[in-house]
Amino acid sequence: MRKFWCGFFIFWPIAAVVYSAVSPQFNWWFPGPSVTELGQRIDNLFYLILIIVTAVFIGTQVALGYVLWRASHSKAERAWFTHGSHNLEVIWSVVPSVILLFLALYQMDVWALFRVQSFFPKEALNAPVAEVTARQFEWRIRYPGLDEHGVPKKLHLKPQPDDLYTVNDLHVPIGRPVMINLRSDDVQHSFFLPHLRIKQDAVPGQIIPIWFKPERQGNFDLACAELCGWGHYKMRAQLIVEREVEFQAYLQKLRADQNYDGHATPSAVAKKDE
Amino acid sequence: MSVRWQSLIVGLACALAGCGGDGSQMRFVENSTLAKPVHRKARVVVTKQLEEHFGTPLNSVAWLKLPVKYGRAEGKVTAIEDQTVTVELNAESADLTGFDAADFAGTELLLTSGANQGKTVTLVTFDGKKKTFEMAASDVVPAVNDQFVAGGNVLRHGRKLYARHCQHCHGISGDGDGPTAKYLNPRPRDYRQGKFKFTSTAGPAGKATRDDLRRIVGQGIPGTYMPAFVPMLKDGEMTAIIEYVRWLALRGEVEWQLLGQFKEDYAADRAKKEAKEPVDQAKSAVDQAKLAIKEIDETIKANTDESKKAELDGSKKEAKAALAAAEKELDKAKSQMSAKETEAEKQLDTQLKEFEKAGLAELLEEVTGDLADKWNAVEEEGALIIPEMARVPDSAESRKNGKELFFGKVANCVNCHGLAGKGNGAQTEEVGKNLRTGELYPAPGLYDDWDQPIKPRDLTRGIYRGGRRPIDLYRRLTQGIKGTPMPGAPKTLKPEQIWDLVNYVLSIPFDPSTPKAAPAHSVVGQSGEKGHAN
Amino acid sequence: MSATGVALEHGHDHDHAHGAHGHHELSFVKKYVFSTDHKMIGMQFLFTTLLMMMVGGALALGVRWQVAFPWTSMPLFGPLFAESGGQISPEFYTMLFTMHATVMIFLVIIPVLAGAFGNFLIPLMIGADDMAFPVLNMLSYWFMIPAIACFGLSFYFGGAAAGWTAYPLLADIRAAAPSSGSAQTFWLLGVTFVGVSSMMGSVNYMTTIINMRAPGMTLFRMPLTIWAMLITAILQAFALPVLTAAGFMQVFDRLDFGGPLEGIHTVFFIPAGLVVNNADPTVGGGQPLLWQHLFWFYSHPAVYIMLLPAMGMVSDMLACMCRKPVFGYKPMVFSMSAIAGLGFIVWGHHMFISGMNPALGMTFMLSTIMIALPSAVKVFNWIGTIWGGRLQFNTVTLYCAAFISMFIVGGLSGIFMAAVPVDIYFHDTYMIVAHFHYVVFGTTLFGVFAGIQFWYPKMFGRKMNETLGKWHFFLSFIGFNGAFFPMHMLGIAGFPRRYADPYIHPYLEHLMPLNQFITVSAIIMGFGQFLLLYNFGTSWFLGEKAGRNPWGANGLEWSAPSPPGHGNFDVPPVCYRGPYEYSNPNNPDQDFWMQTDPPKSKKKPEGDAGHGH
Repeated sequence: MRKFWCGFFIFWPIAAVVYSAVSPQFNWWFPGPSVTELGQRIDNLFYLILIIVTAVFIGTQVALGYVLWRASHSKAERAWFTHGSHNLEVIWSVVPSVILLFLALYQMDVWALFRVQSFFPKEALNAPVAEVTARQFEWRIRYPGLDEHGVPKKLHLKPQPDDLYTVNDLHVPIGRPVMINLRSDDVQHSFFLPHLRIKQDAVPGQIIPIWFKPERQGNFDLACAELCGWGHYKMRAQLIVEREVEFQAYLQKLRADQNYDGHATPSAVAKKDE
Repeated sequence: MSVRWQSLIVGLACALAGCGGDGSQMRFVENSTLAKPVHRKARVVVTKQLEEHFGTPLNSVAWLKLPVKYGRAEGKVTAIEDQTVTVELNAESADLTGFDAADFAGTELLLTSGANQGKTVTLVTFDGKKKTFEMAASDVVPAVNDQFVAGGNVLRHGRKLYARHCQHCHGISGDGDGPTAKYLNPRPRDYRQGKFKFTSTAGPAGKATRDDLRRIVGQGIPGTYMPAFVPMLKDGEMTAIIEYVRWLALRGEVEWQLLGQFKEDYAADRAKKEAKEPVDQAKSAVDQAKLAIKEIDETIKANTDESKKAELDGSKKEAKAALAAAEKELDKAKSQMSAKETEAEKQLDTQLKEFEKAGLAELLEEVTGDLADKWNAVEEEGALIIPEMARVPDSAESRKNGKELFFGKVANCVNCHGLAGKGNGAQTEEVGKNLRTGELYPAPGLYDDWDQPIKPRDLTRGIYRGGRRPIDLYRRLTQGIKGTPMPGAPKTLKPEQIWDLVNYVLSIPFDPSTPKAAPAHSVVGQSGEKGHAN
Repeated sequence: MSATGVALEHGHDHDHAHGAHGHHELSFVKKYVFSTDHKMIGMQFLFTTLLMMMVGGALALGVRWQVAFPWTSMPLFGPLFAESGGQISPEFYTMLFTMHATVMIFLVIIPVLAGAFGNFLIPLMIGADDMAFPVLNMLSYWFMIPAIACFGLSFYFGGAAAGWTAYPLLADIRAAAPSSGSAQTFWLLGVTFVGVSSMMGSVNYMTTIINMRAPGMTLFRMPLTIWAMLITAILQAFALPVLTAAGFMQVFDRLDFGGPLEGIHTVFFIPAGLVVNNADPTVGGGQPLLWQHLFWFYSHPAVYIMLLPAMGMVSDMLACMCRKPVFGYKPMVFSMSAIAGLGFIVWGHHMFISGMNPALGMTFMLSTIMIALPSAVKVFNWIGTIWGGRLQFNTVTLYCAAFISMFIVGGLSGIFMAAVPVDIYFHDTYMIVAHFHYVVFGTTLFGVFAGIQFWYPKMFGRKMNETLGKWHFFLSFIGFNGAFFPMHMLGIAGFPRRYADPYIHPYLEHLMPLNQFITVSAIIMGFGQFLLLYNFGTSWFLGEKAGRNPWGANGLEWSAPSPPGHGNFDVPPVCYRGPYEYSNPNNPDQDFWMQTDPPKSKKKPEGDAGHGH
């Protein structure tokens, strides 16, 4: 029986490691490579921790299995009488603390880049692309209005008469850093873009800026990651990363749709008046 | 069952892949407020009709009389191999490629020509691309070139989606009373009156077009718990849900109308009332007799003329005899009351049975025909409200005109929406009258057709439930909001005046003179939580 | 006074007590219901928590069913929703996971460690006849009853459904969540009652451990269980007031008194101008993040309240099962103290992406990552304890080994979320769910299962059945890992927590089969717990009779009768040495050397534990 139990405690970590190793093949892994470079750096940090953690996991589980085996197969009349070893304690305190300290310090710059505003790219910080307002249970998006040349104006913190509105459908241009102002209308929500490795809570009473620089075109999921009530799971939206031209065209279309009066677009109206 | 044959009922069986579980007790809920005053037996008749023509949630019936696109497919058989039948669909058949094969499982295919005309085959799977289906083993074997009609897949698909996304608020019957509903303000729509608030047509009684429904489901209703289902629902899914909602609304309205008819003829208390009638008559006779005696007594008292005394005594005697007779009559009536009631019940029963045989089909025909007309009317070309003129440019002058109208006697928006447009006008302080029951509402304020308190929109918040496009506001202003106290603009208003109003309403949130409690949002600065308030 | 003298004197007392037994026989109510005897109170806690564990487990299976088979009829709850085809509503789902967490944390894990084992073991292990304040102790149990009642009322009013973290504004504004009728208010009151109960226990434990140790029981001769209980009590004493205050703040935010009391409607956590569910706009300038700070200031140390006692107990059991002293007794004590100390300055790691100051995120990351150090030291010491021991694979050993093995997983997965940038992605995903279940279930509850098996003979005088125990271990372990290990992968795939129907999101659609596997594993694990209950119940009558010291252990509790009578010890114990003198070469007679055994000779070779050899 003791062989069985020793095997049992050896077997399960092996099963766990094998299972983890095959998981990417079954798609039980990240939803594709990150769309932003910052996200790739987050992934790299993840893999760094994963390597360290796997080594420690295997090391400690093997050690555990080994001592269990030795102890249960011990032929000695008595156990080894010892109260511990000072040297060992020092070693296994200092070594992990060095590794851990390294891990902690190594993370700082990615975090700063993601969150600390003085590290934000200036062009994004000065011209937020849109304001995303989370509410039970959808994402309301507000773009600034377009000027006479069709160029987006500055996004004001307060709504403006010519702002453009959409719901659950966030379009951003590819290849340049974009900043979003995040707000909440009612309770707490969280702006989660799994493909971009971005998450930020939307806190009522605050406007929180988030920036990212999408590097791949496509249609990505936007979900809520903070319990916001019974419809928490329903807050599905999409992030569409498109070329600058398409993005501008989208804004134009949005303006035309929003000003639809049953006849023609307001730009046409304005022309008629001239 | 002539109705059945004429209307071509296509039945859908119940095994629901993915929704599994014990659905045996799942049912459509009876419209209780309407059903209450209707006699129990009449209610049974209505329920029976609904079950026959609409089925149950898991075993729905696609009644072709209704203006619902069930995903009907017609065509002919081109080849048969074992249980696999290859078919050719007619050009006008619905496109079936977008649906799950599972949505066809259990659907019946009705043969309309050949030896087996009028018989049905049950589908096991259907491959929309290859145009083949597998059928369950049965005695009926279709022959090549047999014509057939099948369908119901849209309804079935819609029900699955409805159960997943809508049912917990809008309820199984579309009664707006799902488990989540009680926590929501405003309450979810009760489809059963067939009234939809935000419509784009001048059509009758708040009937919505498919596009209206698509817009609401897709974009949600800002400021309420109706979420936007874009991008969650794909195009085919949206179609299926919309048809299912139309079907539920029609089912509810058929129930509504039938119960409304039966409420008059077969009221719950009809037999009791009839039985009580002779008693009431006898009672009033007794009362009259008593009154007569009293009068005579008074006359006797006041009488000083001896000669008349005898005469008066005589009439009193007579009156007493009359009273005794009336009392006897009353006792008799009372003793006969329960028998009379039983008789009246019996009478009601036979009347109902006769009606079921003779008039019911006609009534149903009339009701559904009327409903179909109404629902089809809004889909017709020309029903859509298109302003006679393009939007008046949003100028200061236009807004000023709009503002005058807002406060003026004709449009009188201020009465409900208030001086600052905050939705707190004088009308919201009045106790209103329920026009259907004629009773006063329990509390001051406005109420909608579902007897829920309703507040006029706070126009300073910049949230427009029916959409923020100028055309949406134009339609709201001209047509009102169905089922609510928001009326359509008087016909005397010219289109440009309405546009002026639109321009003014859209400017209210930005009007510096309107006081408002702006959310005190602070920007998160570098220093963290303590940003500067804006 | 010589040791023998003491023994004799008290031995006489003991006889007298026996003689007088008939005179003050306690009434049934005094003995079994409103008992002030720490052992009875401990067992009351144990029964209550085992019962609650089954309730919490049923709720968990409800959650799992919905996630694996969304909107289908649940085996247990389905009949409640027959009219909608067994389909639950999303707010019912939010209620299920909220109440699962509530029941498991506040009514199972915290009271089973501090309440059940703390009460039962502390006086026995330090050689006291009872707690310092027996009546307070009794009250600490009886305050659990209103807590359970409040949670029950919360259920009755629809169940709290704002998550066990009760974040404002969801929990704060009545219109925001379906639960926010009276359910959330009762939930808060329930948590407060649990807090009062814990606080009573905490005061009692500190006083008892500091003042009532037997002669010779110096601080560094205390078993690690007692050290853990002491540290836990201190943690509770310092952290709990914050939660209680925060709870009352939320209650006052929620209560909408009319009339003269209207001013009590506070806005601690409510910013101005929010319109929720079309209610009137909120007034006031509160800050929702304040709640998170206050809540986690308690609830992070609470994680260690849920862990440290189990660590202590496992150290004791492991030493006994390996017949070997605990490896590094003093480092164990110091690392537990370090965990407790650091535990107070890591709460912010629950809030990395909450919108608090990013600079705070960095400091909290540093402290959080460093808290892994004492935990690692403990793991190494446990492995060191087994190293060179003589081990028997009984149920206790199995659970202790599993405890270490699971703690390694739970600890290592914690590093991912301690690293802020990686936590941006993992926050509120199933990675977190996997992590804390490995800590709270895989570690703590496995430690508790070992503890039940180990101290059962002391509680009831009989041993629990080994075969059943091993089957229970096997099913729990397989089910547990089958359920929670794949959750790491769900987390990596970005699967958010608390979703009633995750599959409406395209990037999660393909994870349904994995979730179904998890649910099947969870069902195996859940039903495996009936084996424990069966074993627990039947061994009471059928178990093998155990003497005073069935395991050959050293602690003072094993010198008392099984089960100990009123006043615990028939001879007031005197402690002569540390608790882990197993296989001491100076004691050739047997491989254990009880703390109460008088020294063999005048020379004093056996040191206190912790003196390295």
